[in-house]
Amino acid sequence: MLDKLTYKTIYLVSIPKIHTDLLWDLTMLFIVLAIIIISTVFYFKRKLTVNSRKTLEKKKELSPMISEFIFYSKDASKKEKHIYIEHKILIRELLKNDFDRKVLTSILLDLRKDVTGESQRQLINLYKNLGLHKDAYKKLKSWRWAVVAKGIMELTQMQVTESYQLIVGFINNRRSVVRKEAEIAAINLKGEGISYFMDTTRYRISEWQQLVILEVIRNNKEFVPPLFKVWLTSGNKDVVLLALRFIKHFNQNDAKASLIELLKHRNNQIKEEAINCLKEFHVVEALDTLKLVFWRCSTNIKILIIGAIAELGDIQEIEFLKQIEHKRLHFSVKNKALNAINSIAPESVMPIKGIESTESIIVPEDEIKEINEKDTNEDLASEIKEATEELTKEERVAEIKNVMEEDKVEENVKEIKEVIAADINEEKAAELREVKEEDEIEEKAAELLETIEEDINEEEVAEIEINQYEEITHEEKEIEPFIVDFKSVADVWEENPDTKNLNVEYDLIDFLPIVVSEDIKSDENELNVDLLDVIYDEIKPPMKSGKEVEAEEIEETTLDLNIEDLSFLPIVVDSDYENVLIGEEEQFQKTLLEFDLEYEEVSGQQEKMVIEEILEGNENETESRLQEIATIEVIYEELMGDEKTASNEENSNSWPLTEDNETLEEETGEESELASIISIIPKPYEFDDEAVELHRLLSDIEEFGDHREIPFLTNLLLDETRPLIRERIRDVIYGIERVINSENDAIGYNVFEELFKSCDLESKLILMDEMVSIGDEKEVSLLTRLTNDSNIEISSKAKSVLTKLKERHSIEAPGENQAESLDLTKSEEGNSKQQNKWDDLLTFTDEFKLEHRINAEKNNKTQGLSNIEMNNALLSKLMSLPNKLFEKLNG
Amino acid sequence: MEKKRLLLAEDDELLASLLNYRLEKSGYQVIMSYNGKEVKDQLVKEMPDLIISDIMMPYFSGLELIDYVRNELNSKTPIIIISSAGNEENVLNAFDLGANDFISKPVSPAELIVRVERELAKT
Repeated sequence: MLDKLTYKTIYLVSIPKIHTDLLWDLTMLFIVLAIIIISTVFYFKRKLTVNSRKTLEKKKELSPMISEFIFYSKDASKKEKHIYIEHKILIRELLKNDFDRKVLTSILLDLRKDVTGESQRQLINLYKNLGLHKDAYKKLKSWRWAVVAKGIMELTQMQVTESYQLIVGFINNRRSVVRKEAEIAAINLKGEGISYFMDTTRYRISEWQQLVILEVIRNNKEFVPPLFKVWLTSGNKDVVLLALRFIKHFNQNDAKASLIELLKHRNNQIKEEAINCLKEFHVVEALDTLKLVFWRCSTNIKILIIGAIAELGDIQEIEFLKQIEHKRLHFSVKNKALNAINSIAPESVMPIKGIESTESIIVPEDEIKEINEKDTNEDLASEIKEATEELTKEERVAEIKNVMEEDKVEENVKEIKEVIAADINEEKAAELREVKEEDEIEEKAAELLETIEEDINEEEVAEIEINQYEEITHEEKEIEPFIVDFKSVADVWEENPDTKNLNVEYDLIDFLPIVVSEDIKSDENELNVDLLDVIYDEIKPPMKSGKEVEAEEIEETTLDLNIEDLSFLPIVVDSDYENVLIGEEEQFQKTLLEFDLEYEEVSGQQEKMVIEEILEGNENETESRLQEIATIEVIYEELMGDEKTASNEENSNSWPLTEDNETLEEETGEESELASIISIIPKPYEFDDEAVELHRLLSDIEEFGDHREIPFLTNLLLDETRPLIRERIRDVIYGIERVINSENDAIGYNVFEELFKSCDLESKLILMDEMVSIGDEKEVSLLTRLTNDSNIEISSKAKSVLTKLKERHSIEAPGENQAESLDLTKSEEGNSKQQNKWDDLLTFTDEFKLEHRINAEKNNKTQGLSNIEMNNALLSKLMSLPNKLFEKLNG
Repeated sequence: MEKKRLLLAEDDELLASLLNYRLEKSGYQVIMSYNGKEVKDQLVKEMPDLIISDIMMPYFSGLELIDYVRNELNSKTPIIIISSAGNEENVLNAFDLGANDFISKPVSPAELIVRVERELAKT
């Protein structure tokens, strides 16, 4: 009892009980699996190694042979010719082996990449003559996409233009690798390939593929570019993109309107390419559209548009660019706008970011001295010099006066002038006169300034500086050096008449600071010697572009005052100007808002109109349909009066339209009328099982049967009484007869006659040769007609061919063996063939087709069937015919 | 008349075989080398009348070969370099080191013969 109550120990972690034998079995199983896997891996590795070694050896063996074929010339020595023939015989044997054919193909493909010029052409010819392109054709039929892609690549590299039609079918293949190969092949093989590709492609063209196509076209020296603008309207956006790139590449600048229209495209890439094209072709007409679409573009496109405006635009676009600068846009867009302004009007926007204000700078006293010294000595002296040479004094004084009157700075200037004038005493004026006498101007100026500095009380200077910093604004400070006033020379002369006698050259004292005397204002006549004030005009703006000059011209037309002449003046921030700026900005904002609003309104109205139209249309349509359905419903109910359709009736009653009481009343009233309609409707045929089986049989006969079924069908027709089945049997018989007739028509078709229509003289002669060997009775009539041809060559050839053909047919009399006829034909041409044996061997085209004849002979020996040989000979001739024609056409 | 000896250093055996055939056909005696080591051994053994070398070769590149011939062997044997198209930097380096001529891949064998003849005519 106690034992039963005792708790059992439960282990948290317990080892599962597994049978040891099972463990051993599993171990053995995994060991065996591992051995199998390892041995498989080793087997395949070894196989690959052996294959590659074999291929390498084969390549070594075949490469001299290929070199021999590539560099063979007809004027080779006997020994070389002998080697060449030996190689030809050998290679013919090799072609029978698939592995050898693969190796040969790979060698030729490898060499195709490494050689160029005549050698490459020979290589391609060799590839075709060896019939290796037929292997590539087989690859195109493979179910493995990799093999198909390889086949296309082979045909492209070996320039097998005949394969173009086969390859273009892969342009819309669902496998991208195959598709890409086909695209490149189409472009490479034929000039019109690019047009076909761009017309038909439905898939995406990746960026990489576009680059590859561009590269292929670039390397194709014979490529004649079509007008790519026709594809700007394509539904495939990648085609449009590619067309844009081609337009840019080939400089086809005749699609300006389309390019401008593409600026409105939703796709950013297309927009980008369109902008690039417009920039490339310098399409100024695009500016308005560029400005319009700007507000709806992404940042990158905005930057591109601004770049385009900078390149295409003139000074009129600055306004737009300024608007951008004031808007809440990405900083890079704003920066680009400033760059654009500067590129249109250089240096019109100065750096503003990170520029410290100079107002808070406290300059030490000794520094102020230096500044004064510098300003008065160096800058102004040079400026005065230049100014005196250019403008007359009177004009400048007048201008200065005007400016001084207008500017608010005048008051400050006056104050400073008074302060400075008060400090300069008579002694300094005397010294100045003495200094004027000396020759070296700069030295004198320096001495003079030194003395000025010495004499001027430091305290006074400090006071002046403090006054300047306190009262004059930052802008006003800039003109500080200009408003230093000295006593006029006239005053000095009045005080010291002796100095009048001094023959002072005033040009030599142009280093002196600018003098604006109060007397100038009062009496201009006395200023004839005061050259110093000319400096105000000499601060010239930087070199201007043509656009700036234009702008200045515009300004000149509107203002009497020449702004350029006043450019030396400090920047005066007028409250009116600020108002103007604010006003402009407000106006711009307003126009923008109006633009947006208008747009929204228009689009809203359009949408509304469209919706209304749709609703109206829907209403009308639904009404008419409801009416139709209602009438149909009535008929349906009346016709389906049996029990089976009870449920349908219920359903139809549940139809919302039939809930209309009025309609239901009308229905009951028209019952009698509908009863008459029912009597007109034919009753359905009911087929029994036998009839159904018969129908099936007739369908099968119609699909698979031929003329042998006609007697059976005729008997059936005679026995059958049911009209519908009789009619069906007749149809089947007519169908079979139609097929037989069409086959008969095809048999009467003469292929030579068709070919003759589109051949040149030489091709016609070749065709006639072929008629001898493969022609039959059908050719006789053609040849008879040709004997009367206006061309002597053709008529004489036709006669001889006709004779030969007739001879052949007489030999091929019924009961005679066809093999014998072949032998006879051979014997007929035997002598000439033997004579040309060596020549034949030296030409590839005939040589490799002999293979078929050899095979046929083998078949004859083994099977003893002469018919097969005849067929093979005919087949080989037929196969060689297009080749010969192509060779002929290719010269 | 003794045939001129050319050393053809090219790692692509197919191309080497093709060029060898064309050069021999033009009346030159060609010594083939498929890598840098072979070239070096060959040069130590006997200096040819002209060297045709690919730039990209195993063990010993074409540039190293030029340097070796010009600076270590102090030979003025004409060297024609074969290089892949677009490898402009290598070509310039080759000329700096003392290559006499340059031909880009894909090679035209006929053009190569003309260049070889011209270089040999200079010596």
